[in-house]
Amino acid sequence: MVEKDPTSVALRFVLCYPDVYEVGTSHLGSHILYHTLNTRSDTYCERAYHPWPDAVEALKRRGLALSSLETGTPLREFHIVGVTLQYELNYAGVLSLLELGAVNLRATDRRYDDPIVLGGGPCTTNPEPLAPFFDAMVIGDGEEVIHEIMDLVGDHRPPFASGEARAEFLGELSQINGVYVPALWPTARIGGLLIPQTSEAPARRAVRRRIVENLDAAPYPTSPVVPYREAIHDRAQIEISRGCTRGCRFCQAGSIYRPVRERSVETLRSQANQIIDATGYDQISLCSLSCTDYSRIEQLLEALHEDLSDRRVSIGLPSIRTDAFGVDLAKRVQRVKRTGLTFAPEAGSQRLRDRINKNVTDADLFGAVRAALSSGWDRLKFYFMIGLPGETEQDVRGIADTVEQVLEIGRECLGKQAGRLRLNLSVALFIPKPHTPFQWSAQETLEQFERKRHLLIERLKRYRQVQVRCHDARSAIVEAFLARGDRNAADVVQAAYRLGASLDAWTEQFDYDRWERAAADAGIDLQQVAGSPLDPEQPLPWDHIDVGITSQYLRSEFAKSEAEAPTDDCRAAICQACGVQRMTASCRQKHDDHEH
Amino acid sequence: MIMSTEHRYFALLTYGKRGLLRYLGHLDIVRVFDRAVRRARLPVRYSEGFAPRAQLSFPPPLPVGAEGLQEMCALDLTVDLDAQKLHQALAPQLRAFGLSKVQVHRDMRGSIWSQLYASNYQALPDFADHADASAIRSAIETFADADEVTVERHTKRRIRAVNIRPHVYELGLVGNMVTMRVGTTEETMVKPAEVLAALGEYLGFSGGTWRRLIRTAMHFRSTEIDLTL
Repeated sequence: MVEKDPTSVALRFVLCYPDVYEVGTSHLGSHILYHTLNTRSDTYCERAYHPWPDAVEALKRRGLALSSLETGTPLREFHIVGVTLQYELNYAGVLSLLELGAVNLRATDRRYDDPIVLGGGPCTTNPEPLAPFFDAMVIGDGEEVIHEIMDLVGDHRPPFASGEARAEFLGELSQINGVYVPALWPTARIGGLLIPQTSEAPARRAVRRRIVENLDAAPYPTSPVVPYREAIHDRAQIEISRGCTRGCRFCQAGSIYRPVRERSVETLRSQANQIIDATGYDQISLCSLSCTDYSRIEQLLEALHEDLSDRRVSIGLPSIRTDAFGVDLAKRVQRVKRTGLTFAPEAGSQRLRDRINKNVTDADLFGAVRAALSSGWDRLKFYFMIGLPGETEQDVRGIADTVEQVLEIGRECLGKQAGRLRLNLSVALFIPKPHTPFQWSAQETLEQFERKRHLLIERLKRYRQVQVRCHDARSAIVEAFLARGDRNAADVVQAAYRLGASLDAWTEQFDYDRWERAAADAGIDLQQVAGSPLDPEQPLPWDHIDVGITSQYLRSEFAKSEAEAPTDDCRAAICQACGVQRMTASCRQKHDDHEH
Repeated sequence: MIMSTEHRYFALLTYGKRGLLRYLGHLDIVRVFDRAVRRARLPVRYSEGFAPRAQLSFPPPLPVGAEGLQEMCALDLTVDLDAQKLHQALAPQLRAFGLSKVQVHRDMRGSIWSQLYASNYQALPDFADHADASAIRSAIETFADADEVTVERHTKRRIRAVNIRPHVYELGLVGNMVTMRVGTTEETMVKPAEVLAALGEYLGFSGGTWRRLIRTAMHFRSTEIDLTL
C-alpha cells in the first residue's frame, strides 16, 4: 500500500472498482494506474471497492460514506473519483459506489466543487449507457493520458471556485486525445437510437483511442499491493503483451486492444524477479490475451524457470493455444504443479469456427487433447459459446460430438485409466459487442438459448466424466442490452439501481426482474432490444468512439463471416487494413510496405 | 515426508495478531507467512508435492475476530541460523505482526502444537451487557464448584457430549472480561466459546458469543520454548 501524507500533495485521486475487494484487487489495470499515479509527487492515489451488501447496510445504518482504504477519506472529498469499467454487469454497481461515497450521480447534478468523476476501461468504447454519470471518460490505454489529465488538473488547482471554472476545465480536458466529455456531446434521435453529436470541427468528430506504442517502456508496478485476504487470481502478474490480432469475430478484446505490443524478455525477466522479491508470491501468471502467441515465449519461460524454480515459484499460463504446441509449452511450465488444462475451441463445427474466424481445426484440437492426455493431464476444460450468429442446432450437436470424440481419445490414450478423465465444459452465451463484426447481430432469445442448452445437456448427461456449466441466459440479455445501449439505457441503469441492483456480476445477487421492470418503466423491452439486429446502414451510438478498427472493416468482416471465409492474423500475414494503421507507427509502416 | 536422519532446525517466531489483523483467517495467516519467508529468501524446508509451501507449524488457530498477544509459529529451516539475523531478516517482512522474538531450536520433537498444553484467554462475552459483575462472578463460582460441565460437540456424523470441567484450569473476572486458562492439547482442548456458553447458561443466556476475545498467553511443555520477551 502506498503511504503518503495527504496534506503534502496537491491532488487526491481515488481509484474505484465497482465490485468487491476480492475481485477488484486482482485487476491488473488498476495496479498499473495506482502505480503510475503514485509515481507523481503532486498526487496521492488511493483505492476504494464496492462493499458486500452486509457492509453496505452497516455503512447506511451508521450514516458513513464509502471511503478510501489508505486514509479512510470519503469519496466525495477527493478531487478525482476514477472508476474502472470492466464489465457491463458492474454498471449498477458504479452508481451504488458513487452514491455510497456521497457523490451526486449525474454530472449535471454535481456542484462546481464536487469531485470530477472519471471513467476508464474497455466498457468506455461504448460509453453511452453510463455517459450521464461521468464528467469524463478515457478511451484506451491509461498510462500516458493519465499524466496529461493530472497535469491539467494540477494547472486548475481544484476544488473549482465556480461552475464556470469547472466547465472551463472540462472543455480543456476534452481537448486531450482519448478523453471523452459526454456533456459536450448532446444526442439526436436517428433511426430510433440516440446518437451523440458534436459541434466540433470535422477533424474531432470522434474521440480516438489512446494506444501506448512502446509497451516495453511503459510503467509497470513491480511492488504491487498484496492482499492479506485471499483474492481471485491471488498471484504475481506480468503483462507479457497487450492486444490480439487473431480476429475472432465475436471478441471485443480482439478489436479494442490492437495492435499487439510485447514487452521484451529482458524486461519481463527483470520485472518478474522484482515482483517476487517484493511480494513473495508462490505463483506468477503471464498475462495477455493469448500467451502462446508471444513471439519469444520459449525463451521467456526458460528464463523465468531458471530464476524462479529454486524459490518454489510456479508459472501460470492462463490461456494456451489449442494445439500440440500449446500443450508442449504447458508441459514445460508445469514441471511440478499439474493443474487442469484449458482449451477454447468456442464452436463445435468447422463451419461455425470459420464463421467466427476461430482458426482452430478439429485436427488441432484433438492433437492437443492427445498430447495433454499422454503427458499426464486428465482434467481438461473447454470453452464453448452458444448463440453465435449463423449457429444452427447442428452446430450445437457438434459440441456434443466433439466431447464424445475427446472421450474416445481418452479411452485410447488412458486405457484402463480412462475413468480418471474429467471434462469440464464452460458454455458462454454469445453477446453482441460494440466494435466487433457481430455488433449488428441479434442475440438469441431466452427460448432459443434454453432450447440449445437443453439439447447439449441432454446429449452429455449420460457421461459422468463430463460436467457442463452454462452461463445464465437472463444475465446475458442484460449484458447485451448494456453493451449496445444508447444514452437512454442510462435511465434504465439508474432505475435498476434504485430497485436494488448493484453487484450483478454475482449470480446470487443478480435479479433479472429488477432490470426487466426498470426497462419496462422506460418503455423498453429488454429481450426485444437484445434480440433484434441493428441496421448496418444507420449510425450507431458508439460511432463517435474511434477505437482504430473502422466501420468499413467491420462490415467486410461481417460479410466474410456470412461467406464462412477466414481472415488471417496480420502478424503472420499481410496488413489487413483494419484501421489501426491510422493510429500507430508500426502498423502504418506495415500497411505502407504492403501498399508499395 | 521429512527424513528422520536429517538435522532439523526450527525458528520459533513470536508475533501479535492485533487490531484489524484479527479478521484474518488461519489460512490467510499461513499465506502471509509463506510470502514473508519467500521475500526474506530464507533457507526453509518446503513441503513436497504439487504446491510446495514453506513448512510452518502453528498452534490451534484463533477464531476469526480473535486477537492474540503472543502468537507463535515454528519455521522449519534447512540450516542452523543465528536467531538475531533471522529476526533482522523477517521483522521488516512482517511489520504489521510486530515480530517480537525469534528463537532457534535444534531437534525439537514434533510440531509446535504438540508442545503446547494450555492457553490463557480474555473474553468479553455478549452476556456481559445483561448480567452485572456479581452475577457473572457467581456463575464462575458455580462453574468452579461443578464436577462436570458438559458441552455438545458436533462432529461430521454425530453430536458428542464432552465434560470440559477438568480442562478449565483457571477462571476469573477482571473488569467485565472473563479470564481463563484452558487445556489446548488434542485430548484436553477446550474452546473459550464453550466456557462462555456454560457460564451464559447459568445466567439464562444461550450461546457462547463474544465481542472480544484475546489469547493472552500459551504454555509449552518444552522448557526450551522461552516466552519471556
